[in-house]
Amino acid sequence: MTDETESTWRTLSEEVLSGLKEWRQAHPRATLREIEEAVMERMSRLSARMIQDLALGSATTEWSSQPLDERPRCPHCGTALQARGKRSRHLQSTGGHDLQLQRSYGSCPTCGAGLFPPG
Amino acid sequence: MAAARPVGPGFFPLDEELGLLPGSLSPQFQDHLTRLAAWMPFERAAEMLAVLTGVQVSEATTRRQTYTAEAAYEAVQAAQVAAPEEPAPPVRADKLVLSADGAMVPRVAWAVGRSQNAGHRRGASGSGSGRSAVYAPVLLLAPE
Repeated sequence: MTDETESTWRTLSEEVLSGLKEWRQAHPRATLREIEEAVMERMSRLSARMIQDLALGSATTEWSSQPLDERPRCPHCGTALQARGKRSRHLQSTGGHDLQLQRSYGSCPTCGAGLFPPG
Repeated sequence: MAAARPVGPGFFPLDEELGLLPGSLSPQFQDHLTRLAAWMPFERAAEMLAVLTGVQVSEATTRRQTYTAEAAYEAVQAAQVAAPEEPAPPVRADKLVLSADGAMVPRVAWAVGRSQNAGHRRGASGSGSGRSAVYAPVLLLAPE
């Protein structure tokens, strides 16, 4: 985990804590259901960010600069993949919050598997 | 004629590593959605997912993902059936223990007549409650 990620988590955690304190002060007669909803909404935002950062913390996220013998292999012929760039994928996760996964993708230079259709 | 080279949208090794499935939900919520859709209509399953988790999907997405999961599960089952079965290790026992047991199965009165082949009735069928019971003898065998 990078220092930047850790700093982001710390900031988000502090926002959750201070946000909940303020919310409670503004809702002194809140029901337990309202309290649960307020906590879960804020925590789910933090959870989604942590899930995203942990998922992207893999060496497989960005493998285009790796030496050939360390790159992921073609599942069909076993050749090291050729990097073709990066793409983002969006997934809904806890609380409906968005996970954005930007990761390298590639194709096989030997058997051609994974190439875009021409044209 | 030579076969055409396979084409596709590229390989995403991270997706493989994370075990991502096609679609817009994380695996945990795909699992939740599929379980809900196995018990109720697709539209209701989508509504329940939104109520319980805050994750929003359409009825069409629910239908598609449930059918995909169903097909995957069928493929797993087919592979299990097709796999050669390992012979069970022989059971060595000096003694064989026999034990008689039974189970009381509550039934409504009108159904008792059909169930009498499976076991014998214990007690009279109460006309007041409309319920009776079937006593089903079971023989258990266990090597000692």
